[in-house]
Amino acid sequence: MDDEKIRALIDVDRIVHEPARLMILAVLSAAREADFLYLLNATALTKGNLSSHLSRLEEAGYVEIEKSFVGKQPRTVARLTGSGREALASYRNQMQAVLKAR
Amino acid sequence: MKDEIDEMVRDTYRYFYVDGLVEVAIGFLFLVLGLVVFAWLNLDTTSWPGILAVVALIVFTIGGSAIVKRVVGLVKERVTYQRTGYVAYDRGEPGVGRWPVVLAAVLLVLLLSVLPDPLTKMPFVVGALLGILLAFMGYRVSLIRFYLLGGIAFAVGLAAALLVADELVGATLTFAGSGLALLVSGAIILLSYVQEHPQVGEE
Repeated sequence: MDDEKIRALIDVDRIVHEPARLMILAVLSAAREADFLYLLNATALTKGNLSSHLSRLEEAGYVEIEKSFVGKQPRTVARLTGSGREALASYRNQMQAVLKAR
Repeated sequence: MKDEIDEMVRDTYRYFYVDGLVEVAIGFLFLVLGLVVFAWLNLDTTSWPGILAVVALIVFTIGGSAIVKRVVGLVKERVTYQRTGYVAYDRGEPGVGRWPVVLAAVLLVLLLSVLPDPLTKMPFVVGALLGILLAFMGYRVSLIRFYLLGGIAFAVGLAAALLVADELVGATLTFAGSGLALLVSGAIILLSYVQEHPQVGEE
């Protein structure tokens, strides 16, 4: 593996690199938006874990969170932002380049 | 890594079909359309039932897709989203799309120019077209049951082409038969989905 590839691995976005957050981003990349319950089922994370990872992604500006009510039921909806989509795409490119270099 | 991300993306697309509601709605629409055309062919169009059949045919042909979309959305809100969560998709629902329909039609026209009779008959054409589209849907979201439904549509079309003398009646029966298959498949999936997923509230 040459220096450039090693640097690509070091420079990888740590927010995206974390497996639970990567799962959340992957799910949201296929949808316009998804609620907390769906993300919980799709990622098999605990409620606390999912909440904390969503907050982290929101802080990074990768995900938007919106809380609303549908009838009397609360619904927390998450959607990928433009920079979240870019971050996921760039992470995938970086990882593919690193894996190809093996 | 790439495969796992792709699989999660595909799972999210597949989720649209998890409850069988789309099949129930489309199947019901096909079945009703088939029955309405059958009634229209066999009734006096100056009689009340005949006029009703013509009106129903116009309403379902023009507004069918909008009715299906609206009904599926409303029922999903009450059944699916409360059980396993809500997902909305970017470019409408992950269905077949426009280009595969055009491609399937072109492919069929090309095939018809080389196929012998009775494979050039309308029932076979309808069955083959529905079969190709359902199979493509199965490929797109990796759902085997759509391949089976495509096979059924194809077989019904072939049987109608061979057994029914009147082409229009045969095509109508193919449409209605494929609709019935979709309806039954969707109902089975819906029942098992409801049994497997009790209603939950969000925290």
